[in-house]
Amino acid sequence: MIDTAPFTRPGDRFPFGPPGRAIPISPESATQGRPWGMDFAVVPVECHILESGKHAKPTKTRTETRPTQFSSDGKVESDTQTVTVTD
Amino acid sequence: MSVLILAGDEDDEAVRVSYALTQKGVHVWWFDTSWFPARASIEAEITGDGWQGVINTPDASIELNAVSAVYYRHSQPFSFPSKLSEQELRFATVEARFGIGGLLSSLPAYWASHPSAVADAEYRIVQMASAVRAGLHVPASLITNDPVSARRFVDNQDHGAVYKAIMHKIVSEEGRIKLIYTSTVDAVTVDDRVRVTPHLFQSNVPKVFDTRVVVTGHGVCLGVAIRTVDPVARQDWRTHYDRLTYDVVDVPQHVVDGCLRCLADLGVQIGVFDFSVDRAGDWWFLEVNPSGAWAWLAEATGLPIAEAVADLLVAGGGG
Repeated sequence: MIDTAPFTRPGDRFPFGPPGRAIPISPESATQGRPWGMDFAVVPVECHILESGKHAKPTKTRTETRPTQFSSDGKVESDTQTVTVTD
Repeated sequence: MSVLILAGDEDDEAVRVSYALTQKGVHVWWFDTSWFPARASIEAEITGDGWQGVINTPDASIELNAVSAVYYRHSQPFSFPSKLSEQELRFATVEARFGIGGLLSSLPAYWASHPSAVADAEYRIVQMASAVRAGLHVPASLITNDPVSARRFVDNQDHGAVYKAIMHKIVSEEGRIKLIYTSTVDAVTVDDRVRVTPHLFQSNVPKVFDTRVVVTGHGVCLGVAIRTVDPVARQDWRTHYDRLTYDVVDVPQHVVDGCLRCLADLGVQIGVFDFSVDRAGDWWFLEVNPSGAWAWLAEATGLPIAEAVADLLVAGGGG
């Protein structure tokens, strides 16, 4: 979820971390008028370093489907949400 | 004493700090905000001593009044049922943000670092101004949505210029994820679409290597040189992690002092600083991330960063 307030107040942000860290996958294509800086966006190179350790790479950008659970009339049900996460 | 870690349950840095705290005999509680509400619940009452109560997690019942220090990392969004309508989800989110966020923020504990200070410090433009005040060298920079000014700035840089996203470094389009790295800019490519939003241009530092430096408010400064022979990776090392080497580097004292002034100015207790070092040995400030990654550097170099953070929390929490 992105906070779309034009000037996000610090107190409002807790506990989401900075906007843009988790964004929804978008099927939309670039428009002719998109911000110039977005032209520099590239698909990141897959990384295969430090395979022996847990910390395979410092910046992780991944698409994940997060399981969620909720209670409905006393019955716990499962659902999912798909987001992109970078650390 | 007890330390509360607010982080995703797979946060590498938090895992290391948790281990270091445990080694020191400190009791650790962990709360991943994404556990709420399916796997966590809260219950607190206002008293003469503030809010008293518990956060119940899958592993423990966190006693709010027993928390001495808080290690705050990237907290994850709450996990509400996806079947809620947009307005229902917004209601639940805002109530949880101000309810749980307020409860945690009210704790009379030592924070490393407080969420509000972290949020402020994550404004890159704020960081740059703070770095200048702290006496650190910042490359010539221009923020503008005027393409004429942008072209003029780019043309005037002796070693060329780069474009950097100010905050939004991830782009999702056509079903794919893309990242915006630090990119060299040719003035002729700057067009009127710069007018859409502010753009940050910076002088391109003729760097020999980059460094990532972890600094804590109690004066510990641990630096790692990030080197590569690959010209693309040298421009932005995040492009090719597989072409990097790491070694421990001594941070000049005037840079250490500047980092500490910067931390104090930003009101945070931990900072992960990035610098480029040029041929003359000058250290150029790029940015400081109050929640930056360092676990892979600790693993690669053996630097005791987790232990330093643990020491900070123990000292701050009165342990």
